[in-house]
Amino acid sequence: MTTTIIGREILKNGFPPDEGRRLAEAVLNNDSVDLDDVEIDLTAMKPALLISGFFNSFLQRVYELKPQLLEVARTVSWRLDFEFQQAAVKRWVDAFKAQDPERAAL
Amino acid sequence: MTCHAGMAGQNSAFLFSDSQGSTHDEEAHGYQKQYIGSDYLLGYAGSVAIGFAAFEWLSEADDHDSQTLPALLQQFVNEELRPAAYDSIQFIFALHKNGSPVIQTYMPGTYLKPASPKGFGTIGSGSTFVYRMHQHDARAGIAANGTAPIDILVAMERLTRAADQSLTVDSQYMLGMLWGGRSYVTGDADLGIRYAHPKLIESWPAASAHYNEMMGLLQAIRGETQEAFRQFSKIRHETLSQSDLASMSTANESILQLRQDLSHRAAQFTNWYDDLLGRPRLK
Repeated sequence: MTTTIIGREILKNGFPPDEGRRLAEAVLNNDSVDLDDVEIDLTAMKPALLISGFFNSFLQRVYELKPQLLEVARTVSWRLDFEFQQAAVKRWVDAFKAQDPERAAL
Repeated sequence: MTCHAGMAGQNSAFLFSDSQGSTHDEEAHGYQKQYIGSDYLLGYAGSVAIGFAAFEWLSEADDHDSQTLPALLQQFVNEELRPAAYDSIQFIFALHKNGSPVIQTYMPGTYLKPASPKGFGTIGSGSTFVYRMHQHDARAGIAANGTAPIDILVAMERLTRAADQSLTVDSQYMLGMLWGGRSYVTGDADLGIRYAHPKLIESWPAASAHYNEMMGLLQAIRGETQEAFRQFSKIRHETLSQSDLASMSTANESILQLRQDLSHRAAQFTNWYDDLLGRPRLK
């Protein structure tokens, strides 16, 4: 049975990448959630939060914690308020490339 | 109390108007503060009673348009108001002057005539915040640097958000547009629309659905922009990394796509609106 995770019960008022990471950790730390069969409800969340940085950080954090689940995480079903968000999230998720956690300074 | 902010570009102009009515003791929301003429938009700040009287007066006036609106408003002030009430009302209008959209303000308590046409204007208690943000952006070199409709919408969403800091401005906006020589209007679903085409009043929830989608896109563009600014601010500490640049590049690509989506959505709205009013669609 599909598990629905309610984003507004997890997310706080942080910056989009921080909140994306928070969501990934909450999902992966929840033993009752099967990433193969989960829907994440992000309705009633500000559109300014649900941007590319949010979803890229979500996937990046999944990769850092459980790299074997990255491809499954790309197939997560998202419930969103707006039509354009569905298309945008698909674009971001498809284009995401995981990075090694070590970031080279300029 | 109120906030109206208008901006005009090459072939379009936009007027954002909040909906809050306040006294010393209470506040109420959902007031229509923008009147939609055939080819102009008019907003008022100050007394709700005088503003509605002006709307009523215009709706009963003979055929009029951008050319005759300023004189007609002066006539309203001179014939319908006592001088003691001049300070209680301010107007802002988006109209066409010599074929181009412009923004004008009219403060009867201070000036005899409307101010000269400009590309930008704001009135009401929230205008201080809007002006401050506009000037900040101009000084920082991040002012709106485009005159296309989408450029103006993106700039206006940021500016009107600044007015949220005012206690007497709410976030239930009405959005008027001049586009292709015509007027269009949409806005928050909770606005009580009284002065508009009867078909629009009847279909306000559908008009509002277009507004929600467009505002969602504008807010997403603002979110992407803010995040890119935040990443770039690391340069102050010499900690900007390749990864940060990659994030900014991703935001840039995302904004490009969101702007295309917004342009498409705006066209869907104008088509829907033209169909509703039974007029040919914009080309």
